Amino acid sequence: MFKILFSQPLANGLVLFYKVLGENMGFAIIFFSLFLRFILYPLTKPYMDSMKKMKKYTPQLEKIKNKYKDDKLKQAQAQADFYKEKGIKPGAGCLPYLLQIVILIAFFRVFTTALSSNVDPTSAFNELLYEPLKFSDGATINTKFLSTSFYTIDISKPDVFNISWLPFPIPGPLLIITALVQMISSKIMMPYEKTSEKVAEKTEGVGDDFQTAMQKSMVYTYPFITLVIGVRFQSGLALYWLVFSLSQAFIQLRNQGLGGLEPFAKRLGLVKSESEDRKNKRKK
Amino acid sequence: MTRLIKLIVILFLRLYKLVISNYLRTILGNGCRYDKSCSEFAIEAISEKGLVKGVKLSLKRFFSCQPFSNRYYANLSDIK
Repeated sequence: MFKILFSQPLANGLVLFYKVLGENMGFAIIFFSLFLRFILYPLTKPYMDSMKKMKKYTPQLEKIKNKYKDDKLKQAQAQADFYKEKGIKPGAGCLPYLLQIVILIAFFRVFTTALSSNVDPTSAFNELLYEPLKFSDGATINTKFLSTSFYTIDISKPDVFNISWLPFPIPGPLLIITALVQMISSKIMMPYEKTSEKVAEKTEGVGDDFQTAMQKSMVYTYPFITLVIGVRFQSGLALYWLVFSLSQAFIQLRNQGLGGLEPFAKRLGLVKSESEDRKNKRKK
Repeated sequence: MTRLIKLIVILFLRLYKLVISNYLRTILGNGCRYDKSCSEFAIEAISEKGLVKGVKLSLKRFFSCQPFSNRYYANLSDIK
């Protein structure tokens, strides 16, 4: 069922891009994942739009929260009324996001079954493909992506260096870049950095503090897990993950700004701090 | 026995919230339309209404969290 609904359409889409884009599986992965992002974007857009508005009205929303601090029910009601008044629709919800996870799993299955080193990729792909897209007998699939004399990334193999005296493989450049981009992307994804800390300080109990601390450590732990898992799987997956994280970061950046990355960007002088902004406005 | 199952389910939900939910948030962003997440809601529903009804209410709420639904269940009291 999963194969017919998700893996097969995905494999066909990927091969279509492969054939159109000069038979390079690496480029096919990049452009096909961008294409998927593009067609799924309308599902998450309403949420992004309402988040933008919510950010604009943060002070008012904080006021409502403080006003009905002791009565959660009234707080929710007042909040809902405020949303209605300002034309903020509650977000798209989690189902569009679940769809992305399903696509991710399907991609994973396509890669691990069709581009695994111990099967012939042509026949494995042919099992998934619809008739017009099938490869002819004896055709080879070009899995070399960005091949240079110095280093070649083969997307059907893990992107690793094997050093004889080390018992474990070292992650290659693609994996390291993917982990770094994932880290930056999750930093951007973190909500307005100070609010959650403030809320955690105000509320009783250790739950919220723990939650905030966990979220903070996640930014570094998960990219590390990507590295550890990445050395075992085909680098095509890492490439998909890289494009996914990059596009996610880009969408988030355009819609909601730098998020958790803001303090870092300020330190580097890439963006002006709020106090500087205020000073400039006063001068004007 | 049902108490034990209830406890295990709640423990599982807490673990999900801490590890998996946080992970999904860092990679996909926050997609929830509610302030209170579905796992928090489920923990509350199961502790207050019992396992069977709690799970039923939680599922109802979970499926309301999509672009085509007009239902809005912010709190446990909003849903029957």
